[in-house]
Amino acid sequence: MNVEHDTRTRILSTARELFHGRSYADVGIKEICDLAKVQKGSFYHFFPSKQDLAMAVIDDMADEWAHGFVAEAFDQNLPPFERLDYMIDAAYYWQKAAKDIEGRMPGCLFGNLALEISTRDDVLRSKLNAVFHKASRRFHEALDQAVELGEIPPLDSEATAAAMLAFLEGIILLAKTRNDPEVIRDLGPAIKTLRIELAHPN
Amino acid sequence: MTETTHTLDARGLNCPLPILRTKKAIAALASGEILEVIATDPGSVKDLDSFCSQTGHEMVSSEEAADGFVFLIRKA
Repeated sequence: MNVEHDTRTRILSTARELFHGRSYADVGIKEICDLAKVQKGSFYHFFPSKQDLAMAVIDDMADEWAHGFVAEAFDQNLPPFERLDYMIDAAYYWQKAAKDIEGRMPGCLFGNLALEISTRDDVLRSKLNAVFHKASRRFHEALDQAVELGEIPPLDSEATAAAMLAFLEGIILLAKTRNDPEVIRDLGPAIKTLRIELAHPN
Repeated sequence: MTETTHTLDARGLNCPLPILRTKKAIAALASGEILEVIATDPGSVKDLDSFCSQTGHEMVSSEEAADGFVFLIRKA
């Protein structure tokens, strides 16, 4: 069982690195197998197709983030708006560390994949949409708590949460395009100023 | 002069977790107090250096020991 688990883990981490560093389309199963030192037959035992592999990579990374730095940033013991600072810090330091090692800023794996495959693969697009939806719920909770605590006036917290996530993904994209993580540090704090008001029925 | 030393064990954690934990641990200290951070992520050396220069905290020392990298940071 352990050998099986190790093989699957090796395929996943190799694929994740290659998809993130390059793209989904650019990376073939043969290259993943070669780098992970896995036979092709063994690969197909775990992942019937490249799409199945991508689904598992997305799940794996989303799970690791949810229990890792996202949980740390959206710590319920922190004041709601401070969690946003921690989330910006997490994005900044993570991208900066990756650039220090690779020389290039990799951007957000989910954002990269969404840009690449949304017009080509509806299954993967839905999967990524679910990941983004889950991420925006963290912002949503923080905003609802900020309203409850009287820190901000009532607002459309669901729409504002989506806007905050869009802002975060957007500055990571801009930083990636400039290959400069400082963009995240310079622009990131403005995430706290985003507000979408509640719609008033006429 | 008395200096309280608090320790944060960030061994086994990968970027950006050591930074986030350091930021939280520092927030709980009084100005002038020292936090000792032990980390195994090699990226933490550069990360904690930039964290200190950006936040004004002082990196008192940074060295590689047998069980990881050991940093002493004085809160601004």
